[in-house]
Amino acid sequence: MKTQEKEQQFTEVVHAHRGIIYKVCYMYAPQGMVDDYYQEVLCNLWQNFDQFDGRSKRSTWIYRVALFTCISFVRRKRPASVSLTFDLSSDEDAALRERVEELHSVINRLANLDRALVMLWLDGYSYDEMAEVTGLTKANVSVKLMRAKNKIKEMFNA
Amino acid sequence: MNLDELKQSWDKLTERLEREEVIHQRELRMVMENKITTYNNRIKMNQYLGWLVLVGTVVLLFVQGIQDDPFGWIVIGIVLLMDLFLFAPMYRILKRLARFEDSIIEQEQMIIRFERMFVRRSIVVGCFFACLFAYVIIEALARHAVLTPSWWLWMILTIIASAIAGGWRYMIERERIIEIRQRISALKQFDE
Repeated sequence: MKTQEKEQQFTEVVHAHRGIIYKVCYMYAPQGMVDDYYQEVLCNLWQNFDQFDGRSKRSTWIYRVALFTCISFVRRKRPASVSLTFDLSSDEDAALRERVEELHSVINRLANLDRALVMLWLDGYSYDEMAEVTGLTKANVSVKLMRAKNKIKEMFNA
Repeated sequence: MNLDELKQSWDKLTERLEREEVIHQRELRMVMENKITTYNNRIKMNQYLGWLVLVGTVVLLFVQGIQDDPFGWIVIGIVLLMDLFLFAPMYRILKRLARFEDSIIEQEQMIIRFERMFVRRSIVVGCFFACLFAYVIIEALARHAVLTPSWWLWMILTIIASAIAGGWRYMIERERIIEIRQRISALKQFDE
């Protein structure tokens, strides 16, 4: 693929799936580190962009790269970053911010894999797609997701 | 909040993110450059640290009383000079890389050169510590003839700990150099 063509395609793909990238980063990054995670995911997507073979959906592939990056990035130290991610600080976002923070506090209490499954479920992915992203079997996905949902219910009831 | 509300919040967030502006190539380039700078700074810090450890070891040797041994000083002097000889150009390369003033091809060549120097410097430092431990053992044998098992145990533990620490640092540094190379090659694609 020619570089210009790659850049063009990359921009389009990132544009179309920026929500996925942001949500995964937001749910995995410690406070104030979303930008760092976002950057790392973008770098990895760019570097592996040519390797996408079209066997799965583009969104599934992006989910996989984002999850893998964020989970492995947890252990590293904080690098300096440039601000790229979205700003939810405007007035119209105040209510949304509150809901998102609540959402974050719930999902963030789950284990890494459960968090991934819950996010995929919230995004409406099928069990087959969840299995493809996480590398689990379909049966395992179903059991783990059920347990994760029960954990969330317990959190609400607590 | 229940699961339905959780899903609603998630959908609201998704909807809001859909309205955001797209990331531009300029920003992606910034990300790559920023990553290079970050890894560059870490490598620089580690190179300073390596130099300090070496100088600290020399000071320690002086305090421990090898000041009367001219042979020891000659060896240390040679090692320090060799290290400085390798450290100075490495430092220059890192400074140049941090400025992003050279072309990507030059940056790529510089990081390859840096990697070679890094391997050489690691060998020099490794040899220095190997000689140092050998020297300590020979000196101790010359002074005491028989060394206690606990002395040997401490010595072996120190050698193992030093080897692990050195190897660990080496692996981390190498990983960072590889990261810089990858980012530079990504930048190269932008410039092609």
